Amino acid sequence: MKTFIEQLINGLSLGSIYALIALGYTMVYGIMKLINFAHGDIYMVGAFTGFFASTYLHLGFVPSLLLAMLVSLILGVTIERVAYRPLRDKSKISILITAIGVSLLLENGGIILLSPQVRTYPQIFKQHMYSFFNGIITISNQQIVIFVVSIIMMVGLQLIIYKTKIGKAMRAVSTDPDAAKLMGVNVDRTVSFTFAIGSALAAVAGVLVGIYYNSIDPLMGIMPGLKAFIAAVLGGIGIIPGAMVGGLLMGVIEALVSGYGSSLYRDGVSFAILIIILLIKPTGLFGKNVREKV
Amino acid sequence: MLEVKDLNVSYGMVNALKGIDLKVNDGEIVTIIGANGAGKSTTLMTISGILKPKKGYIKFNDVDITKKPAQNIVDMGICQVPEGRRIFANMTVMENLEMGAYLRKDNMVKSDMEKVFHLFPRLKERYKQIAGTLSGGEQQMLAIGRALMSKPKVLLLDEPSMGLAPIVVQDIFKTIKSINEDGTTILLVEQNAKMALSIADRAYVLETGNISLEGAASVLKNDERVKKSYLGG
Repeated sequence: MKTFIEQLINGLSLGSIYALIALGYTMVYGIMKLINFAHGDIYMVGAFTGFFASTYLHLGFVPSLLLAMLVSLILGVTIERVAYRPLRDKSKISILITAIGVSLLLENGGIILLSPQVRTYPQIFKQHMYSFFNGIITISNQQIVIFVVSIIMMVGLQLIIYKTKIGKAMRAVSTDPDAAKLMGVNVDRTVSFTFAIGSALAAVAGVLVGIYYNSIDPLMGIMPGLKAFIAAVLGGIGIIPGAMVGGLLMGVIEALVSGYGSSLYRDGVSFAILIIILLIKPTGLFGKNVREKV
Repeated sequence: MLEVKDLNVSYGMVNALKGIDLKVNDGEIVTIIGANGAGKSTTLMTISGILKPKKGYIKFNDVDITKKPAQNIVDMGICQVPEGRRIFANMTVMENLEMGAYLRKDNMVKSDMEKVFHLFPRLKERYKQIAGTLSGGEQQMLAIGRALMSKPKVLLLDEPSMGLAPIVVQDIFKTIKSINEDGTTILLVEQNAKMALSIADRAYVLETGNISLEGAASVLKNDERVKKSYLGG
């Protein structure tokens, strides 16, 4: 029982991070039907910005988090503007290959500029364990920070999407871009805004990972990027609550596999999940088969 | 009010419009009738700025709007109810109407929504419902209501009768007439020539990218060629 709860908490922490990354995948897919393979690398840039901000600028947690969000946001919007927008009317495959190219550019650019060595993230929060119910539940302060920050981000995102004008425009563009244009929506600006939010959330995930695992490197985005992509597909790509639930589930499954089986199987199980969803329910847990009325 | 001159539009190698001229005067209902593929929707999509012409111009109140982006055209007062309604299916009725008022910054939006509800009481009953669950007729009402929320000077309507039961079509056309009587100029594209000619002031007949006939609706209704091709003999 104790191991189970321990692994559950570990899984939910990791899952919150996957969910934050998965949200960016799913939002970008929703609005322009593109799997942005560079998204995992935007997360890496966020982690490094947080690292530099706290190590060299000696900023506290919140200012480094905000700076990381800002840098990733600018990077994400720039990538869309420079690499994806000119190809938006071209075939889907050219923009997908461009995304892979951007991803490789950021990874190898990162190796050149930052060196491939693994850096140790500063201990912003000195680890401290809290235990409840006679030690049945133990949780670290870092995990609490991860939960609190993730919940704030996800609630904030829901508010933006459902309560603001730009959020409504995002939903309208994702259903029918031309109809949205006919209502006066500036589609280019809406797409930029989507990249901005998705990239900022990835940066948050990057900083949280740095705090949780204490180490970052220029290739750190590859695996979590793929896992978060699987999480987005698991929940139903393009569906925002799907990405949140998918991310949490992925984290919990990985933690349980590591806890009860072996961490060697962890990645294998994740990819097996992807194959199983694609075989059984390609639209994901929250996906509906949309039928149009004529 | 709206003036289209020598408009040429093509999709790749296909010339959809081969130089059409048309005019809509303030307060009129003008209809464009024609068969499938004649270029009717292309005309409206070009006026709305979604498609860009190869040649020719579109003027609105003497301002050239040919190269303006779609959102500026909506902002100037031209709004379209597109073919197939194209409502935002996973948003609520109310959110769809709010999308119609997307560019507006005045504080009359609420009271204009009441006006739309007055015009279409069915929408008021269902304002919280997800738009995709509405019936075809209700979706058409929503599409018209959404466009009205932008407070258009000219309303472009593309096949509002499509896929609807005859009784519903009559209702929709009655509403279009009353929207016009309230001061909105209307450019109506229809395959249902009979209904369109019955409410229009003037009409154009579009055939494979060219205007083949034009004139007062009452005259065209009795024209032998129109009768034969579009009114079923």
